Amino acid sequence: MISEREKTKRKVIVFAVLAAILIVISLIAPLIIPNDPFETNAALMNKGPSEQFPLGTDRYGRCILSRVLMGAKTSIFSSFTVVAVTFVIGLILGLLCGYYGGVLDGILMRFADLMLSFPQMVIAIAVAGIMGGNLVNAMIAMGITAWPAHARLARSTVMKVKEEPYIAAAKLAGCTDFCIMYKYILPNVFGPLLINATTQIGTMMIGIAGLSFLGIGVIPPTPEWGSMINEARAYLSLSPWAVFVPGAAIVITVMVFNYFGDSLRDYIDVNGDSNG
Amino acid sequence: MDKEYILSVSNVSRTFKLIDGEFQALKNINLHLSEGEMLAIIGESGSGKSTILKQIACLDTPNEGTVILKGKNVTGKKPADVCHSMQMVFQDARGSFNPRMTFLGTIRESLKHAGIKDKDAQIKKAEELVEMVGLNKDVLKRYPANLSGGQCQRMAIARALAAEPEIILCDEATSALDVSAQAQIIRLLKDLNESLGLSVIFVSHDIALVDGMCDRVMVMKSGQIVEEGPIHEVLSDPKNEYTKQLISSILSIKDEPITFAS
Repeated sequence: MISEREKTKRKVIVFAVLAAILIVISLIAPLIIPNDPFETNAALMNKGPSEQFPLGTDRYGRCILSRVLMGAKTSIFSSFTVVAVTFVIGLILGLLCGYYGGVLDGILMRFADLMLSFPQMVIAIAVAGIMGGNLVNAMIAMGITAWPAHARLARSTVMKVKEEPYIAAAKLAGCTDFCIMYKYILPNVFGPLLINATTQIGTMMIGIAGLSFLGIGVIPPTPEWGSMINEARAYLSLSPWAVFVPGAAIVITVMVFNYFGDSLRDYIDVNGDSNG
Repeated sequence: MDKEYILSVSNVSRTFKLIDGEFQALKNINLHLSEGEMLAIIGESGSGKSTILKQIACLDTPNEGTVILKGKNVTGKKPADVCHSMQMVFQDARGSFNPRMTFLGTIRESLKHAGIKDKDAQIKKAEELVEMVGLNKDVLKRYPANLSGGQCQRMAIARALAAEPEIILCDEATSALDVSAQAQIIRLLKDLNESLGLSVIFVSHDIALVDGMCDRVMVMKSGQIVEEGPIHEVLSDPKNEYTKQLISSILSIKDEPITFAS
């Protein structure tokens, strides 16, 4: 009989491997693509899967498999970057607010509440719309709306940890505030916060793909899954593969990263330890 | 007058704001500690014993009153300002250590702030300290989760000694331990008091535990000191009704015949 701990451990390993495979594919995409993802051919428009084009072509005759593989790099790394940057910003702000409290905490957290009170996608569309449509602006737009959730969680976790007796003991050992935050609080809050961040990768991917789908994200012809769906949606009846393939890529990637984050959280819950 | 004592607490009051009003945890507390003295503070849960220790250790600031340490007013100062003179041993010994840090890391941190900057000297001193509290130096490589409650409490005392303090504050330092470990910790504290001349404030709710260990006792109830004096005098001839109740409750438990349900 497999224990609950072992089951969750296996889940973590399976989804970690799948996530790693996706990351590796996105990294080596330029080496494994069967065709040039930018090469157009009027004679090959909206063609179905064939030996030369395993997943068919789009309305410009471009290889969909090559574009999906190249799009993986854009989608996965833009999501990773936004989550990583917002996680670090949220962590630092949450750490400072949770530890010191007072006026700084009041101002920053009310601002975070304000940001959280708006639907994330609405603000992102407004920001991307004002700044103009390209990948960097789409990432900034998503980042502006993503940091408050990280900061809020970091703050509440820090507020709990700072009441632990070992923090009082560290103060009496003569540690400075920076030393306490860096050596005593951060190692004890980092694990759960990082796990929460991994569950945000999928959400971020959908957000960036959503902005690209609306035409205010990645500018064509740069391959990106959201913009690929947007480009192909008018020809859905003629070449459904041009919509389904990038759509399936988004679904699979988001599922893998979400399940990875969830299984990691379950594993830690089962073990009753914030860092496994 | 304050200079005669290593520690003087004068007219200290502490009030906490609650959602539905205020709670006065300490009411006009006066306390004096001489060099090398062992003072016990006893009382029921919620009587303010731990709160007074927090005021003394500068982990909290009183609303009124002053804390004088070695002739200097330390009221409202940071714990780092008093850590060279006093250290605290907490009730939750394991919880008072960073779970992500080995004992060596924690003790080295204390030694660094005590002025020992060289790594080798820190390790040597840490080994001396753990041996002083009766533990093997191998435990230094371990994490808090890997030691028993009694061993963790010894490590907590070793950490406290790293700062070479003159006063050790023990906040229910033995209440989470079994009887055997309690006796060992009490003996250790008594030995350190005699060999190093440490002053100790020992907070406990167990009046029997402090008997024979401390020189003087203060009895607290509802944030106030209701009785104070040499321990044998207070135990043999309590003046206050609450102290009498505390003492009689121990005696009644001891006298109660043990019966088993059939």
